[in-house]
Amino acid sequence: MALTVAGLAGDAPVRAGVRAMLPFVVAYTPFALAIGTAIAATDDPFAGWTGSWLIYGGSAQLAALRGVDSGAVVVAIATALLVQSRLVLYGASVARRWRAQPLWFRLLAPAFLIDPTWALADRDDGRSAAEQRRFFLAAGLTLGVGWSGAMAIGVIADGHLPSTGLHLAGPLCLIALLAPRVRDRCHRVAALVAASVAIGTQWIPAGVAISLSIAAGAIAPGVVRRRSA
Amino acid sequence: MNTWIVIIAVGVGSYLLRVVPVLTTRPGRPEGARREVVPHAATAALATLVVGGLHRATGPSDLAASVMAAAVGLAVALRWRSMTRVLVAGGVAYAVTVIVLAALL
Repeated sequence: MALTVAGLAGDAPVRAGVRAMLPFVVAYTPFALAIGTAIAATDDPFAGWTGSWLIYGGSAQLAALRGVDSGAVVVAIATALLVQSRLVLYGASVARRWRAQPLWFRLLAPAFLIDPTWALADRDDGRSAAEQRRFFLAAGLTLGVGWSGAMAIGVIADGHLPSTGLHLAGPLCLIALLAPRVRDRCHRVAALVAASVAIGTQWIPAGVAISLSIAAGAIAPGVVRRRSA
Repeated sequence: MNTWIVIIAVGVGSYLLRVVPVLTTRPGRPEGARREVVPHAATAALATLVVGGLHRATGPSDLAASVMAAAVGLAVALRWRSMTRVLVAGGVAYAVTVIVLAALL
């Protein structure tokens, strides 16, 4: 595969990665615009915008910006990292799939590991190791470019964009990724328990609530299986 | 200056959260609780994020419409496994629910 635009565009795994991520770029655009608006209100919008690449996670970036707003730097960092704590599970989940990958990929690719890219990486698609690399990096870069671009538009527009009610697009994309998993009974239990805990913990700080929900959902299938054995 | 400090610190921390498990997970089949917990934790994370996304709704009617959209989206996803169909079906369900609720209330 030639490392030119034409060469990359002609590469099937690269095209597949771009295609797989485009719906998410569209889905996450409203969220990116909203974060851009929040960034515009900070003392250094460029610094805030760099989080689109450095943090690569909307909820954590928003948590960080809110903490900066209130002047609580340490709390902002801690809350944002708590929101990101699920990334440990994502990394552990794909670690075995990537075991045969070269070190440079295992150092670079995790930077693009977030909900939609993890969901793509965590499924068995029959690709070779080299094809997996090109697919994943193409998907990660597509999401990053779209995400940071939309956020930049949000910063520039600075709250003058109409509210479109497209907050659903992100959850619907995640539902599309979740559905194949919940065909399995154990995963269904995990999803239901996590969702129930998430609903019941809306009143506590976001980072703690997310971690509690994930933990509850993760251990629930084992508990259910042991009780029914 | 605070913004730079926070963004860089969260960025570095986020990268470490991602890369350390990738580099340190040992080969071979995971054992016991780890084999059970990790795959289900990922599913739990997706479900948690779906709920979090729905809770960005602005008001009871918007929330009801969002839940309806999610239910329809899930049904479509289970049947067709097409993200485009899920987005379209969910969007239509949301719009119809908003219109019906506006007419009733």
